[in-house]
Amino acid sequence: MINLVVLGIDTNANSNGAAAEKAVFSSAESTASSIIFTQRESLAYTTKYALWLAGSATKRDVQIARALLAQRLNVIDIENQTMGSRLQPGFLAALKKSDELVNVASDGFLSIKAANSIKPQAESLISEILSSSRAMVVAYQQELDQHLLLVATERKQAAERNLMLLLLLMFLTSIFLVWISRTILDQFEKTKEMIDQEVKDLETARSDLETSQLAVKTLQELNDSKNDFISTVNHELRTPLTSIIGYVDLLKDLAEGDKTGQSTTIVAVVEKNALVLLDLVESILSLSRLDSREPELAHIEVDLLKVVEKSIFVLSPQAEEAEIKMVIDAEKDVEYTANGNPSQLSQVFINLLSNGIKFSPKGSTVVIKVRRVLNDNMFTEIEASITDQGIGIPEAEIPQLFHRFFRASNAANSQISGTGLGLAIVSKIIDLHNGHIAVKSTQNIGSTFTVNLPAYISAVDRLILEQRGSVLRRAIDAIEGSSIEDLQHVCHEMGGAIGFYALEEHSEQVALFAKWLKNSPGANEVAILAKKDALLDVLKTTQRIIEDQEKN
Amino acid sequence: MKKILNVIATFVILVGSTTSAQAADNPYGGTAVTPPAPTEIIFSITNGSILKTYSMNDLKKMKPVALTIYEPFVKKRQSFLAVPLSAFIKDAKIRSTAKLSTIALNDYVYDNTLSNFLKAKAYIAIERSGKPIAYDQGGPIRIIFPTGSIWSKNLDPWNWSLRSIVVK
Repeated sequence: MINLVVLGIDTNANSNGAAAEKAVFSSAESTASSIIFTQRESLAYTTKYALWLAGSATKRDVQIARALLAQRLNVIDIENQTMGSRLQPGFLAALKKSDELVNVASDGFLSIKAANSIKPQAESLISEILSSSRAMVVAYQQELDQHLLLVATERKQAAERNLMLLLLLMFLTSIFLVWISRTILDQFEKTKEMIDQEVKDLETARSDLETSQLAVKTLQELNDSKNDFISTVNHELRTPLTSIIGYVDLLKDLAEGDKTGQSTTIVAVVEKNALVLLDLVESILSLSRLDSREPELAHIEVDLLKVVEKSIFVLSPQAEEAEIKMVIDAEKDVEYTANGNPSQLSQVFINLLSNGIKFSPKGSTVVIKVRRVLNDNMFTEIEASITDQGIGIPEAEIPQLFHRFFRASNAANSQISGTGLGLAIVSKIIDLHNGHIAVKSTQNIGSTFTVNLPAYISAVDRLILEQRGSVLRRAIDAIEGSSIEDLQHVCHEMGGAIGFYALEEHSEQVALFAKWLKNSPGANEVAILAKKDALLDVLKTTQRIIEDQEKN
Repeated sequence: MKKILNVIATFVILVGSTTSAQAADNPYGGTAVTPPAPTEIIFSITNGSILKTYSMNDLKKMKPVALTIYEPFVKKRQSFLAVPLSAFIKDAKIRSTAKLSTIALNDYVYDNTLSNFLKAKAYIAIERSGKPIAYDQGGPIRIIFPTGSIWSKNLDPWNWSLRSIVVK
């Protein structure tokens, strides 16, 4: 039991000390030190041996020196070898023989007689031990030299390799630097060229801007001159013309007494030309006002049907004289309100109807059709089209029809008076109302002028319109994210919401889907999803249109 | 007669075992060297005019301690009976700033300060594995250092076959 405990402690100590042992033994004596000490000890032993032979040392002294040499030979060096294992066989053999000579000798000092008898052999052994010891040193030195030479060669080769690698690296680095430099230089040149070009462009733009500013200034000056001129016309031309027309009326009464009828004819010509001149002056003044930078007239809710009716009433004498019938085609109980200026819009219809009367044959009809329509962007517009049965307009001349002072060739040839400004005024007024006008005409058949104006939208309706996009988006998200079980309820709710925001058709489609779901409790999932996807496609298309409108 | 035969047999066994043990411990050894007599002076300390001499019996009286260390020359774990160097300071009146020269039987000399020897916890070993230390094992006395000492890896101070210490 005690032995077991001791063994346990010893084993434990061994394992604990393993690391320490390794650390200690890693610092064992170097081979070079061991060889030097071995040579020293060999010398000490042979010296003592020689002293013994000379009678100056005892047998015990020699044995102790021999023991110390043995101790040295038993040292394990850093290469895990003893010095004894490194020795040449001759060394150990000589040692053994020297031991034999000592062992047979008597204790104490050696007698001269005994010394003489063993001296030759002993000296030979001493010589052998010393030469073997030196040979061991030389062998180690040679081994060391070879090792050093090998290490030096390897280091030289490694250094050469490193040098080559360094040179290669420097070469590659140089190439890289040259490449980088050239790239940077190229880039710099390109950038410089671009900057130079941009500077030139900027200079050009600045020059153009200055030119434009000069042109604008000139145009403003011209416009001011024109306005001055218009004022002059207004004061110097229209006033006397009005006065002339007044006097022409008096002359007409006086001319009734002229039995030859010549005076009546002359007065009629004067009156006609005075009226044409007045019409021209009025038209120029109208255009001038429209072109001016004066604040726009306030836009209000205008009932276009009433404007048309009023225009017809104003032109009815002219129509009766020309035996032209004017007919309104409009639906009952429909609002035809637009957002605009009543007097300007009256001007539009008076000009268009006046043309219709002027260029239509006697007994014909001018039809004014008024409708509430939805445009491509799904905005409601009031559309008024005036169709006559007149001489028509050559197709090639239609694009120039709204140019100022342009008159269609057939109109000019037919001796029908006109200034060529009426349609220009119409076009300008409609532009100012964000509307548009189109013409379709066939010569000798008639013409149709179609005016489209945005329908009047109240503040509440405008708010509803602005909310359409987001309401539709929320409805799409709700329907898309809804489970099949909740789909009917969600569609019912969303249909109502969409309808409130002026999307009646879409509201109806959603409601139909909800109704179908309600009436088809056993419908399979694939069919439901197919219908749902079809509905969402329609809603998404509308949503995209609304988004485009909002962007514009 | 029987007693005499027993003594002779015991002596033969002891000598035989010692010789074989030595041969096993050191394959390069020659004839076994008889250890010094217990009363033979084997160690001395010279401190100026003071000369202190010690036999093995004297050393055994200086409260030697048992310690096991890793012996770096033979790379083995070995147990020694050893006297701490500090035990000789008072005996030889060695001042704390002194320098010591440890000298071996083969005249190997190692010099260092007393304080460094003490820091390294130097011991003078007088037995190994319960037996006198043979000459071919660095005996009869030798300087050793415990494992973990600052000089346990420094082999120069491990003076074998210590003969004397000279205080400077």
